[in-house]
Parts: sequence; structure tokens; C-alpha cells
Amino acid sequence: MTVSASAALLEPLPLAGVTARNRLVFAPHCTNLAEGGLPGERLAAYFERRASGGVGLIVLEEAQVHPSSHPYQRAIRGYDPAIRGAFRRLGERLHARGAVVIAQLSHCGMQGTGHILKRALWAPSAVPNPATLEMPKVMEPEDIAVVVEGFARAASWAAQAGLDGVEVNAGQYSLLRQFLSGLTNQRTDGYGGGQDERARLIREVIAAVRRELGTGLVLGLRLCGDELAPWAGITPEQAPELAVGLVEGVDYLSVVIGSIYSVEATRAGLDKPPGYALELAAAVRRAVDGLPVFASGSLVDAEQASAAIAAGKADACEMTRALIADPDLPHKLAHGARHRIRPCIRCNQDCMVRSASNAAVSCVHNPEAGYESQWPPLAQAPQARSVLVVGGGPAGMEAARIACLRGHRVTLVERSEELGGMPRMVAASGQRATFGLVAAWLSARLAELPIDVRLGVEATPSLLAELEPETVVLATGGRSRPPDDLPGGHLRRVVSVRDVLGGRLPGKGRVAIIDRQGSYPAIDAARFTAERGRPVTILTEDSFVSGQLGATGELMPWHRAAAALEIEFRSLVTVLKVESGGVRLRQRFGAEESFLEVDCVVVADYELAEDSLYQRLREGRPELEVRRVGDCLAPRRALHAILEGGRAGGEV
Amino acid sequence: MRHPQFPYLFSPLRVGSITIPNRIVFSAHLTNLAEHNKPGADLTAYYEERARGGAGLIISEEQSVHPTDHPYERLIKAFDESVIPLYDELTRRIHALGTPIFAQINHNGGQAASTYTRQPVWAPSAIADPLFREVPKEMEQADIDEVVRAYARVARHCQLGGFDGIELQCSHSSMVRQFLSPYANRRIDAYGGTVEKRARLVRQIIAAIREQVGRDLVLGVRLPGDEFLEGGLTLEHSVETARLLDADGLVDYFNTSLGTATHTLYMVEGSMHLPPGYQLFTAAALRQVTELPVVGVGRIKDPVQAEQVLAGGACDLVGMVRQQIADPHTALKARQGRVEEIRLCISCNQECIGREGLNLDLGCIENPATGHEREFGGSGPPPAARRRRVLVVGGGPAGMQCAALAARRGHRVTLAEAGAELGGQVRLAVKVPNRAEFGDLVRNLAGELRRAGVEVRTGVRLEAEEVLGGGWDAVVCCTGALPASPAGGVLSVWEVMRGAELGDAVAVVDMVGFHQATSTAEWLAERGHRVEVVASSLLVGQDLGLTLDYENWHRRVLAMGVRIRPGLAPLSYGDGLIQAVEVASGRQVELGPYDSIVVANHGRADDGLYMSLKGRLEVHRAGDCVAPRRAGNAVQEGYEVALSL
Repeated sequence: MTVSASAALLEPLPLAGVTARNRLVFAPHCTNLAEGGLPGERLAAYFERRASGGVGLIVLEEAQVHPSSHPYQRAIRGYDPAIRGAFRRLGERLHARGAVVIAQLSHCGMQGTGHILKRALWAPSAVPNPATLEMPKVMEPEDIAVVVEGFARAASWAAQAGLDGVEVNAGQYSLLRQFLSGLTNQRTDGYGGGQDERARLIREVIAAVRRELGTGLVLGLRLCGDELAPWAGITPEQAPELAVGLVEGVDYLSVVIGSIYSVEATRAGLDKPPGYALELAAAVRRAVDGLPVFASGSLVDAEQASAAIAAGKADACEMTRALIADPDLPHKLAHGARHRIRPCIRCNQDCMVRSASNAAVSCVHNPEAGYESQWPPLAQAPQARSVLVVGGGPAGMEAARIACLRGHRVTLVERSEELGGMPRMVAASGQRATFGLVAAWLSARLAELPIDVRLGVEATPSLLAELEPETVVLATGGRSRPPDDLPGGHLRRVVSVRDVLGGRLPGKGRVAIIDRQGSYPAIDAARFTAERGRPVTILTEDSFVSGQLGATGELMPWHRAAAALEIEFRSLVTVLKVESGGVRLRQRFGAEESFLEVDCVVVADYELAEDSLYQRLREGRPELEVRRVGDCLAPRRALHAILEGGRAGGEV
Repeated sequence: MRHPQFPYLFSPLRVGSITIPNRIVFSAHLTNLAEHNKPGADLTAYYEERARGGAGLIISEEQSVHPTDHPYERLIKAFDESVIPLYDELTRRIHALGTPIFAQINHNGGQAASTYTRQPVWAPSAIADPLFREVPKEMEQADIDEVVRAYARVARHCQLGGFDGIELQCSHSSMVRQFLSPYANRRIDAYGGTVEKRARLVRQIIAAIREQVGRDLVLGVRLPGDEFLEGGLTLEHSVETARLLDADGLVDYFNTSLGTATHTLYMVEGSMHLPPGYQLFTAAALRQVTELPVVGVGRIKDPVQAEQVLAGGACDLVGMVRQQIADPHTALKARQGRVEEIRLCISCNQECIGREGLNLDLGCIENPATGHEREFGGSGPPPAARRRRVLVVGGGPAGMQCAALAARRGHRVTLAEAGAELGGQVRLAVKVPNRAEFGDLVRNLAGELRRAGVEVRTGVRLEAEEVLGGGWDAVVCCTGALPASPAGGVLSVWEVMRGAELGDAVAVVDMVGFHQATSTAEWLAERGHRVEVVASSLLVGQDLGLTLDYENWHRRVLAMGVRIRPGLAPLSYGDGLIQAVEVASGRQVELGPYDSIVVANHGRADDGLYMSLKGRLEVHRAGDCVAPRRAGNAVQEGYEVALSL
């Protein structure tokens, strides 16, 4: 794509009294970077990096308008008068980088937890939260009044702090949506009953906020247009009319999908196609007659986003994850370097942090994200050295890239015929195709650099003698863990996930996948197998299959997909042994045994470090400076590989 | 002087170089009260309150020895020497109350993830922990050497900070236990293989610490009784390790534990479903091979039990953690012969362990002051500015707590309960198998009401007009919840607990996710019914994990043939059938036939009285009549309203 192909995305966007320099939006999301309930240096550095990269509009992480809303531990207290100073400092820094800055104001209602709040959650009606099953308090009229006041007060503080406006949250995690929806609002007073009554609270909030902002500042409304709960929720059919009824006093609408019944749709994984909410935005845009509409929903590709704007489906695109992965995306687009954009792969592994552990936001292949304030600058090495990197997966490629950028002479050897390691292998098998983009992006960067890449080459003693490297970085990856502890694990029809993805799938009948991780490998193997027409059963000792996917929002979409593929799940079972013709099982917490007839068993276990070269070098060449990075240190995720590869490249 | 009632409990004991005034230990446990990964004023006040309450010895929560260790957010990083002045303040305050204090030091090894460190996790072997699910780096010799030095350095920090002793966590969550365990340690070098080789690390650590801190600082080792893992560490291994350490002559006492924090936490911190003192066999076994003092732990709750345990010779000291969370003054009350006044822990695990699991500061279902000792420690919340006439309506946990605290603050309080007895829904909750201890919540509160001089009137149902005419300065409605009938022909758990007749085959539908459905199912299975439990969630009893009841509930009910069916959302009930949707596939399925269907659903807030009083006098509300939730919420809100009066 040339600059002109992304021209629509790069056009300025006038909103009320300000004009954003382009139509890319860094939309509100949980970062866990706030300190003491307020935006501090770390969050500022995170946003500043995106502003420096050229994003037009930044809508800040949600600020809570009242103490009755504390959806996650590190949520920002928009009701604390200290927010004024924090907003001012943030606004000054981001304005200096050319971004328009809008504060998001929110109340989470019943989508919080009494564990944090230590009092009853507030909600329109006595409907339990479907996920936590917690019962909220039905809001009294005075509760409603203080929420409206809270929105107005926080808006006035944002205005006093010099921000460009505020966005009112009636999106996936919001009290205002709970009032708007018949699912959660069963009131019979003036705030419930018909659609008009359910919309009343939003209208009151907008009017109160508008009064505080005056006419010069931007007032946006984030509005759920599809709760994905058609039995009583907000449906896409209603959305245009709903929007029309709410836009008085509003300067833009951001149209989103998802609700308390479908929070996983807030930031969908690979189960939903990019741009899954575009048509909804388009339908709303047609109805609201000239009001700017922002689209969202896995918009990670600039071409798609630009085409959507050009086609009149939206006026701006929220490209949050794409900007986490590559803050320089707008500049790269503007300067004809689209091919150099580090692509978001929609994996959600490190950017979805709305959970109890309070992990900081980051990105599977941009580990600097969220860590900007402590990230070491890329400095030239004091002395150019010869560096040998062994292994062309993400860890090795990132090590080679960074070492070369710092001025070292780098040779990378990879024993297979292609760069890419594990992500390439998974993508090549037809599973999680976007992971291939991680490998492709890194290998394309290597191709731009003076790195001696040797494919199909083993790091033998003679190669070491030939190259005489001053330092060696080992990124030799992982290998399948032999099922030594599984009785019958030696049988011929017991294979690893690597075997399966490489096409080795013995037998013809049902395949049992023993999942010891609760994560992607078993899923990859199961899909691969089911797509080839073989019946599949996943066995796990865990309480439910693929439990680790809860963190990325992919759990229920995967369970639904598996049901459609007729993949059978059996949880809370222990595999006693593999026999010819099947596996013997026992209830994990009970004594009942059963036999499952299968003619192939896949063990989806954690891998082992492929560290044989490291061990040989330690013994044979103890004087050599050797570091290990990624899976050959401990088999983990791509994030760790890239993080450690970059660290090694930065330190050699 | 020999204590007349508890001669063992209140006899001093020499441990290493110091004398511990009595046998009650506030043993190490996580609190999440640290600030910026350092011990601060909250944690200090928390320990101070237990010292004020007469504990014989306090052992701090784990102090981490190395930057590769960061399994939970609020870990105390003792490898940073800036902790020393904070230790100084902490130990000075505890010593001022005449109580010795030890520091537990630890590295969690592979029972961690890289979430906060972004560094590989270190462990003896590359075996992923079942909770953290991250493959660790198999430690090299240089890593081991560094960890040994780190332990010694942190021991020195503790010594400089004024601690009387050090305890090495070698039990439920520690790198040292992982080395001791044949499950977690598969090494073939000098650190793996036999018990002796597996104990090499801990012996090196002990030697390094002694070299660093000398012989006077007390040094103890906490050993595990069993990992409950196939191929894992057993009591015999720990006995053998204790024998080795005893022979080395460098340690002064042993503490004990059971299970591992990430495979079998339900055995580390057993709930009320495990018998009191269930871990004592570990201490007793160690005591067979060493003359050194041994600490016994595990659901030791009251001084009578503790005295029996000591008299029986199972151990020399008793660890009482949850009991002293619930009542920080347990030891003092026992010594002064006020045993009746002790607020007994019910081992519900809801707010202490449950909150830790959620990465929150610890609390207590019975003691809302827990973790807030700076504000509410010592003699408790401040007296009210003026004495008022307060009416509390409803004698469940919310009302009882509110009335007791309001009266203690000086108000003249009347508590009116419509039923014949106090206790609210707790009276039903105690009927189910193994949950009778929950009743101590009511017993404890009833005692507080009595001692605070609350006028309790039972069998009195008050209407709004009567209340308005009563001349009250303030009214608190704690009227609880009403059962909400889920559908026709279906029973609620309330009805079942009150004795409704049921047929042979029973379906119990879980819509609440806590003990209501699971306990009812267990109760019915014990009575010979054929039971299925159905839930739309991915788990039946989805919150039982928080209180560590999930695994053992499954064991108990599966042994009785109960069928557990999650992932099925009921749509309608009729003719003994449940029409449901399979959540994953969207397919409609018919469940049954059943003779009876029981639904555990949320009640409805009984807020009629509150609504009719609102605006007509000063009226507050607390507990389920705000929103039907759990006992801890009721107690918390009752407490807060009482503070505001």
C-alpha cells in the first residue's frame, strides 16, 4: 500500500473546537500502569510514545467518576481532586507531541467486584453478574444523582486541566450500558420501562457533562451497539435508532460490540475477523447524519481501516492494539513504510490485563510496550564485536537484529531452511496463522540489515572455529518432552504436538490429546486433527479444557468452536496409562475408571529446553562467552523469547 | 508461675538463644499488607496487635531473598537493603510489647511466574508449576551459589533490623522444598538423587547463614509433611532431612507444614471441612527424631485444644494463624481466664485466604478490623461522640455485628429479630455436612451483644409505624433476604434445609457458585438421594476454589456417586425435567427425569422496611437487605454502619 492508499486514515479530523491530525485513535483500555489510582510517569510515558508515533487522538484510560466504581485494582480515580493535576501533566506532554487528548469517564456499575469495593456494587436492577454471580444493589434515586454529578465534576476537572474533551463510557464495561439494556435494567421508575426511559440516564449524563464543557470542548460517547445477547439486550438492529436518540450534545460516537454477557467481544481474539464491528458502525453512521463515528473491533490493519473511512463506514478508526504493537504506525504510514509496521497479531496474550494479577500492559512482540519509562535506549556498542547467533526463531532473530543495530558484526545460523522458529511452524501448520507475522516481521527486518544469515547450517565445532565469534547467543529453542512419566507413553502411536503439526498423525480413528498445559498446543493439535476429519477428545486434569485462555478472552469462543468441530472435552480426568487401542482414565477426584478407545495419543506437554549445544560449549569451550535466550533457557511464550533476545542483543 | 488452666500453653520455652514467653505462635502467612514491596506501617500495626494480644512469638511473612523471586505483587523484597530501617521500626515496636519476632526468609523458586520480573523463573528442574504454568530455568551451579549467598545476605539484613531469629521456609512454597522433593527435583548432579543430596542446598544455606550471622540469632527450618504428589516428598523424607539438620547442629527449632501452595493449597490451609489439628502428625513425627522444639500447626483454634495438643506431646509450640487473625487477643484472653470471650475462627477461608488468592489485602469474615489495625487496633473503634438510641432490625450477622459495635461505642442499642433466634441465614448454613463451625460466627456475635449490653428482643416483627413511634435516634435495617422462587414446582435450598420432602432422584441447580448448591447436594447424597448438580458456569461451585473447598468437595461427593454437570444453562423446569442449553454448543438438551428439582439461587433483598422508613428518620441498612451476598459482606457493612452512628 502506498501513502495514498492510506490517505483517508491520514486526513485530519475536525471535532468540536479541535482537529486531530489524522483519524487513528488510541482508545481507552486497561493498562494497570496508573500509580496510586492516578496517571503517573509510567502511564504518561506509555501514551507519550504513541503520541510521538503520530497518533491523532488519544482517549485516556477510563477514570472512575465515583468511589462506588472500582472495576480493577489499578483503576484511575476520576473523583479524586488530584486527577486535575494528573490530567494537566498528561495533557501537556501529549499535546506537545501533537495528539488530541480526551479523558474517558466511566462508572462500571455491576461489572466490578465487591472484593475490591468492600460494599455492594451499584446497578439498575437486582440481576446477578453472569460471570461472577454477584448480586448488586438496586440504585436509589440519590445514587443515580451522585453518579450524574460525578460525571459532571470529572468533566469539569478534565476541562480545567486543559484536555480537549471527555468521552462518556456506555460501552462494554459500563453502568450506562447496564441502564440502556433490557437485560440489566428492569426498573419501573423513570429510568426503566421503555427504551426511552432506559436511555434517560445517559442523556442526563451527557447534558450534565456538556454544561461543564461548554461548546469548545469535545464530548464523545462510547456506545454499545450490540450486546451479543439478542434475547433482551441491545441489538444491532436497534443500534442506529438508539444512537439517534442519544447524540444531542455529542461530538462523536464510538460504536462498540460486547457487554456483560460477552465481554470477550471487547477485544476479540482470532475467532472474530478484523473489523467485526465495522458494519455496525456504518449502520449507525448512516443514521446519525454527519456526526463523526469511530469504528473499532480488531482494526489492526491500516489498509482495512483506511478503506473503511474511504467507504464512509466510519470517520475514524480505533486501532488500539495495533498502536500497542507499533506506536510508530501512523508515521510509518505517512512516510511510505507500511511494510515496516510491526503488526498486531490479535493474540491478546500480553495486552489484556484486566485481571487480579495487575500485570502491566505489554505486547507479545513489542515488549517495550508498557515499559517505556524504564526501557534502555538503543545505544551503539562501544566496540564492534563478532556475534554468532544460533537459532532463527523469534529469540535469535531479535538478538541478531538488536546486536546488528548496535554496530556488531552478526552471523545468524539456523539449521532448518527457514527463519521463524515456533511461530512459523504453528502458522505453517494452518493454526493461529497470525503468529507467522511475528516471524515474518523479524525476518524482514533481518533482511534489511547487514546480517550474515545462514540457513540449513548447524552450529558445529568447525563452524565455530571458522567464525571465531567473540560472543555467542544461543537461541536453539525447545523440543518435545518425552512422555517418560506416562505408562505406555513409549507406544508407537503416542506422539507430540510437534509431530502432529508436522503431519505425523498415526492411525485412522479417534485421537486423544492429553493436555497438560491448558493452553494453545493442545488446541492447535485438536484443530489440526479435527480439520483432517479425525474425531478428537481432549483430556485434562483441570476443571475445564484450555483454562489458560481465560486470560485472553478466547476461552468461550474456543469452547464454542470446539463444539462446532465436534471436539470432545473431558475435564477432571487423570490418564492412568496408554494401552494398545486406547487410554485408561480415572476421575481426578474420584475412583471411577473408564476406557477411551483411541488409536493415537497426542501428549501436549510443556517442552524441554534444547540446550545440548549449550551444554557442549560449557564443557568444551568454557572460555567462550555464551548466553542463552528464549526456549533453550526455559520453554515459554514468544514474549519471553523476544524480550530475552532483545536483551542479549542490547548487552553483547 | 504455673497457669492454673493452661499450664503447658503459658509456660515459657527456650528456643536457641532466646526465651519465648508462651507457646502460641503467630506463624508466617501472606497478608498483602506490604507497601511498595516493603514492610510498612500497616504490616507493623497488624503484627503489633497480635503482640499486644499476647502471642508468644511472631514470625513475619516471607521476606524474599532474590530478584528472580516475585510470585505475587506485594511480595516483600528483603534483598533490597532499604528494608533494614523498616525492620528496625517493626521489631522495636514488637519488642516494646515483650514479644520476640522472627523473620521468615524464602525464595519461591518455580512456584512463580515471570509476570512481574520478566526474568526466567528458577527451579531445580524444568517442571512447570500447576498454578503458574511456566517452565522454569533449571538452575546452574552459579545460580545455586548466588541463591545461597542471597539467603545469607538477607539473613544479615534481618539481623541488622533487629529480628530475634530467622525461619527458612522449606515447605509449601519454596525453592528449598523443591530441591527436597523427588517430584520437583530430577537433578542428576550433587543436588539430586538421595535425600541427602536433595538436602544439600538447605544445608549449604544454613551453613552460609550461620557464617554470616553467628550462632546467637535463632535459626529455624519449616519442613513439609507431605506434598500429596505422585512421586513427591513424603513425611519420611522430611524426618530424614530433620535428622540430618539436627545432626549438623546449626538450627534451633523446626516448624511444620503440609501440602504445597500451588498443587494442594487446600491441605496447607485447610477449611472447616478438615479436622482440627489435621497437620499435627508432621510435628509429632519430627519430634521423634529431634530434641529441638517443634511447632505444630493446622486448624488449632482454641486454647483448650492447644493445651491438649501440647500435653499430648505432638509439638512444643502451636502455630495459630487464622485464630489470631479472627481474634488478635486470643492469647491474652486465655491467660486471663476469659476463654468465653475469644472470637473463634471458623476456618471459612473467605476473607483471609480468599482475598490473598485475589491479590487483595487479607481480611476476616468475623473481624473487619483485620488489616486496619492502625485505625481500629488496641481497644477498637473510638467511642461515639454522643450516646444515641439505636434500633437495629434483624438479627443476622449484619444486625448482630452492627448492634454489638454500636453498643460498644456507647450507644443504647436494641436489636429486634422477627424470628425466635438470632443468626439469620447462618442458622440454615450450619445444617449441611461439615459446616457446623460456621455457627461460631453467631455464637461469637451473641457473646459480643451480651457483653456490650445490647437489648435483644426476638420474635418481634416491627412495622414501619411502630418504628417511627419508637423515639429512635437512628434505625439500622438488617432485614436480610427473602427466598426468590425460581419457578413453579421447583424447590429452593431454603425450603430443602427447612425440611421439604424430596424424592429419590434430585437435581440441584447452582446459580450462586458458592456453598449453597454444593452443600445441599452433599447433604442430600448423605441422605441417600441420587443427586446431580447442574450449573451454567464452567464449574459447579465456581467460588469454592477461593475457600479451598473445591477439591475436597469433589472428592466427598464423587465418593457418594453425585454427578457433576457444569456448562448447562437451565431454561425451564417441568414434569421432573430440566430443559437446558449446552453453553458451548448452543444445543438444547433435556435433563432428567428427576423426582425433585432444587435451585440454589439468589434471594431477594428484603428492603420493604428500609424503603418505608427512608426519609422519615435517620435510617441505614446493611447486609442482604442491600443486596443478597455473603456473610462477610453482612458483617463488614454492619460494622461500617455502626462506625458511622
